Amino acid sequence: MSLNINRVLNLIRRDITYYKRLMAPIILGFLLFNVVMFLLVNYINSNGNIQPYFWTNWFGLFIFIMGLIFTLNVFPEYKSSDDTIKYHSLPASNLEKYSTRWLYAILLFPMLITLTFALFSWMTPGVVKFSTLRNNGFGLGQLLITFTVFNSVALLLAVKRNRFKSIKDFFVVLGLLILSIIVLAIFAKLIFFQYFDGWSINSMTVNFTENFEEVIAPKFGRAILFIGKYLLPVLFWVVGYFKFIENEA
Amino acid sequence: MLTIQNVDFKYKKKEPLFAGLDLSLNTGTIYGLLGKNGTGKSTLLKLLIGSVYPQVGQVQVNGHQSCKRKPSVLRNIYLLQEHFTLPKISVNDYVKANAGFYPKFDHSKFYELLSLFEVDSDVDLGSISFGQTKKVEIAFALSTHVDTLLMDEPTNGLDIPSKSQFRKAVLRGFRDDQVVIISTHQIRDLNQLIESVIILDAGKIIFNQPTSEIETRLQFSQSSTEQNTGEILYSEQMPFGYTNISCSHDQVPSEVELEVLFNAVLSHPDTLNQAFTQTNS
Repeated sequence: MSLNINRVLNLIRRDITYYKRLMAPIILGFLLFNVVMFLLVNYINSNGNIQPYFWTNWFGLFIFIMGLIFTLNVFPEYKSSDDTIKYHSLPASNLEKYSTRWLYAILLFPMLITLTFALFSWMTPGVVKFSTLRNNGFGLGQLLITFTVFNSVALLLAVKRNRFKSIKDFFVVLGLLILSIIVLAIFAKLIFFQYFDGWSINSMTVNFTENFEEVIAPKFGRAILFIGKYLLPVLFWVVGYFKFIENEA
Repeated sequence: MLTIQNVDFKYKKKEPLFAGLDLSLNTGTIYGLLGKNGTGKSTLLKLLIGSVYPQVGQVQVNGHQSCKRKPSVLRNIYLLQEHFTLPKISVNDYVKANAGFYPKFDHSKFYELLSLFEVDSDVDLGSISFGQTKKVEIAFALSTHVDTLLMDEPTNGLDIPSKSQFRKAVLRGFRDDQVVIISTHQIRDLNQLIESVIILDAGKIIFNQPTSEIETRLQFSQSSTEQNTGEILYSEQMPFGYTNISCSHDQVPSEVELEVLFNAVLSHPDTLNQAFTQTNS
């Protein structure tokens, strides 16, 4: 398992050269569409019919639909066995190849889309700006985290070439589930240590009816949210990497 | 050095392709890998480059397991595939995008070979024929200067002059520290290029001899009528008579006819191999 920055840069340079012709019209189309939207929302706003959440709503829709489509296709080599051989035999480590595509799907795509939408919202008078979304209920951060969870599943599916057919795959998913439960149990024990006797819940000391709503539910909810938001994506990335290594032509 | 040790391999939902396959290939040799359709020639090359994994056994390239796909191994091995698609970019862009992965890549040699094959370096890969893209791939493969060069049907799709240029280019660029494996059905195209013949059949290597040995141990002769003497190991009817294979007694090199040898080995593997052990003793 090696990670050499020069080889990663070579991979990125190769991807840009290979896919610039494919990506250029898509990016241009996206920008043009947003310019049209920008003009349209400005026109509507100038008529007094203010659409404060125009860019944020459009952003949420766009990042989920286009983001997941992008990620599911982030390994275009897997569409053909010959291209897979060519990609596998490129002199770069599995980690370098996987992390390059991880970078595009998990970091670069959401970042560039967010920045583009932030710019358009900043230029549009009367709408909610991306910079003020931090403490605004289900804000930008929450949306991006939720997207990352779904996007991580999409990355795993992309590595697996969207095939969930074999029994082995079933056991992988089952393993993931068991692992999640184990992690959840560890966190539950750490957070609610006073209610545990070894790995068993000491029910004598727990008054669920009194404590559940005030103490247990919020803590438990936070623990589940923490796992779902921060640990599951990492788990999917790691599993994706090991599936990537296993891939054959 | 390439070694395949006791390898079992099968594709999902298919019959086993290899069972207990053993093969050892040394540097300084151009190997010809021959076999009928579906005998696993391409799969053998895929195993060597680490694109498919053996279920049992080991495939090693210079002491490293190919299935690990280590960059240190991959930068010294190149597989010229039979079928491939190149991106719709210019030849120059293609080289810029890929040459950086191969530390010994020789740009001047690449452009020299391109001009030999009469391919314009500014041309768009999406706008040229398969034969032309094959020439670009051949030029690229030969310019990588890797220690192990694997070629799967390299002359398929090439025009007649290019086949000859290909042979010259391989011979001119070949080094003593290099291994070249050419898997092919086009035996006649590569007759003068191959230094060692490997024949694969039913998941096994049924013949593996250097051409120099074949030249001195076997005698290839023509006759107008079928020869049925005990010395004839194999006889094949040709348009103008018969080509016969017999044991050579005088050790005078005889020109090897690979196509006849291939047919002989497939039909009488034991007889042909026995001829080698007999003459060796």
